[in-house]
Amino acid sequence: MRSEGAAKGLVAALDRAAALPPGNPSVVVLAEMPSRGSLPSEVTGNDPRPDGAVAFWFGEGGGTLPLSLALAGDAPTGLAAAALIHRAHSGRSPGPRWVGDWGPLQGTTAGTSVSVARTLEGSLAAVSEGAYVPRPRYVENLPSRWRFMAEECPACGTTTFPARGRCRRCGGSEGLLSRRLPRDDALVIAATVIGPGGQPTEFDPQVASLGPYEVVLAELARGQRVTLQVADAAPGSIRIGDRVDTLLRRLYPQEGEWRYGRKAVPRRSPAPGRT
Amino acid sequence: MGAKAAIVGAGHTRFGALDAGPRALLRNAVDAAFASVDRGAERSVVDEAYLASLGFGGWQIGNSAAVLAEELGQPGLPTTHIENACASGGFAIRAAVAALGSGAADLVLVAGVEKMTDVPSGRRRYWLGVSGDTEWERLAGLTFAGVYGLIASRYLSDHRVGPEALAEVAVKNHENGALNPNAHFRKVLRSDQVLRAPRVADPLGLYDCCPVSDGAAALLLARADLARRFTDTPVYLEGLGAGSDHLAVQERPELTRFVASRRAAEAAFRAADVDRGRISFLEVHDCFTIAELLALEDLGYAAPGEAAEITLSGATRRTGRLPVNPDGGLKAKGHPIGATGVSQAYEVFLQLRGAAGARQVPGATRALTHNVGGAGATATVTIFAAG
Ligand SMILES: [Zn+2]
Repeated sequence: MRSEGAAKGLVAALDRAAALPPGNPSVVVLAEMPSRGSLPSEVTGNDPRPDGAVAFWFGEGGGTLPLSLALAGDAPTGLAAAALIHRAHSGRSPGPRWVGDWGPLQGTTAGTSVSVARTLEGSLAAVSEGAYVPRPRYVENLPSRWRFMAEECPACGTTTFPARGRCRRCGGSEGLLSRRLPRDDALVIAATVIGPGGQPTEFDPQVASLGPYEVVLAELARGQRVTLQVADAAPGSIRIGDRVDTLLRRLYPQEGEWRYGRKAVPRRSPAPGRT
Repeated sequence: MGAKAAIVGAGHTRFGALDAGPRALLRNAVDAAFASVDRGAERSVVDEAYLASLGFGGWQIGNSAAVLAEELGQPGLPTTHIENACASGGFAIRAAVAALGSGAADLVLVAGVEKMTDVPSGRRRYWLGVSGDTEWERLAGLTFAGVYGLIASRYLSDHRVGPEALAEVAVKNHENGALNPNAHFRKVLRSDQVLRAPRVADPLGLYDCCPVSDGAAALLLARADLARRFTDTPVYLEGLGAGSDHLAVQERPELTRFVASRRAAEAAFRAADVDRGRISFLEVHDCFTIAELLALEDLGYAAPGEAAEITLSGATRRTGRLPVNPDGGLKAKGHPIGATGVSQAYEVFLQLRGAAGARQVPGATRALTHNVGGAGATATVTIFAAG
């Protein structure tokens, strides 16, 4: 697959993909970049967004994802990626060309992930019956949703997450300092497994493909909590008191595009002294 | 007595999967409320009407209060729709009491309605999640069952309690519901059935969740000093309290206490100036079994973690020392969202007038209702006394 040039961020990438006629294959890759300069140049494009997530678009062509992305989960570049297809492949070329993202990021032709992607692509065009988070609201929240950006109040020292331009404690809005909460090693405060029928409708395709999922309330830093779906682990295997890392993953489609957010994954390398 | 308002009439439809649509449900509840007024009341003397409803399924979300005035037979009446999710009923009662207390009205109609079972199951699950935090909790895959599942997981873990305490709430409320002719479920449940049911949001199973129901309830509230024009046995609203909390549980410092309920309870008890021990029974918001345990603690009847033990001891049964949800609660009676808070007051009206039939709490003189919106984002507590 050749790159058709990197777009500026996910939204631009989605716009480009959405502009293609139906059936025209394209791939949108959303990559997490832990530090500046750790990504191959063909993926960083012209908007590296240090500390952020970047999105790329690969149009046309066939074949598989570039090796660097296919291996992203463990790549020494630190690319922990959620990579997926924005548009279904037309089917005229042989072989599947996408990876699923609700399991570990795997090779591109693993049967299960391909079928997952195919199933879900069918629902992408449907108008979501989900609670409606319009695109501007979704985009507005991306710094908190993707990068766990919080705001520290210089007046009272309180950290507010998600960031809303206003201190949760004193109401101050002057001079709020952007602060990134840790993405990894979060403490699980509460955990539940959502059985069939317990999910919001927008998660129906996911449940149909992959079955029940787990959701945790995790503490990123003292007093700063976030609700996260669990990925890459059997439902019920994450328990209160466990520690989890987080990765960018696909959530569900709305307004004809995938919505992304962080999901909790089992802690990959526990810090020394922790169990 | 400092009460500003009293219930002088109350009506209730059956709760369950019914043929009737929302208009017919409202009409039936309102008709029943007027029929219950001992000395009668003219519809034309109603000064104001409040409709509690979520608008589930999308039927007439806007301006639905006009439907209430129509079904009352008084188009032209000032009328307002109140929506605080599952606590809409409690907040509508609160608005009515404010209207009576300000002198703006002498007689107010409060009705709550929800028509839920005619909505296709996919859309139904969509609507069941619209009152939680949509930007974080819902995007993580949670509806209210999921949020209460998180809360229950923490409660059981913090207090080293098993799921048997949750199951006991369901068993007890179904036992009461079996005696209530208006209840959605009138069959008793065994604890092992609750524990073995399919999991909806672990540790909550199917029988830990209230059903999706149709139904309506209506109250006629009069200024306290005028109440005896309508009946010799009005039920007075001695104290009202309300509160709110962060919409998303991730922003709350504690998961297993609802600040909104606590604040509402403190305000209601302060206004009523009565001790907790003088309340004959409680009508609490048991949308999920865990919610009844939280309610006992938030209302000040149990220390953190103790509600499980109290429940397992049988104290909250209809014959116990502190009966809770003698009508079957949301769990067995059903939970037509907007109707629930109004229905709780209907039960109090019957009980404090000794008219609750087979499920009568003997000698009941005071009662408390506790109505929660969603997973504790809003709540009301109201204390009632027999006239
Ligand atoms: Zn501050």
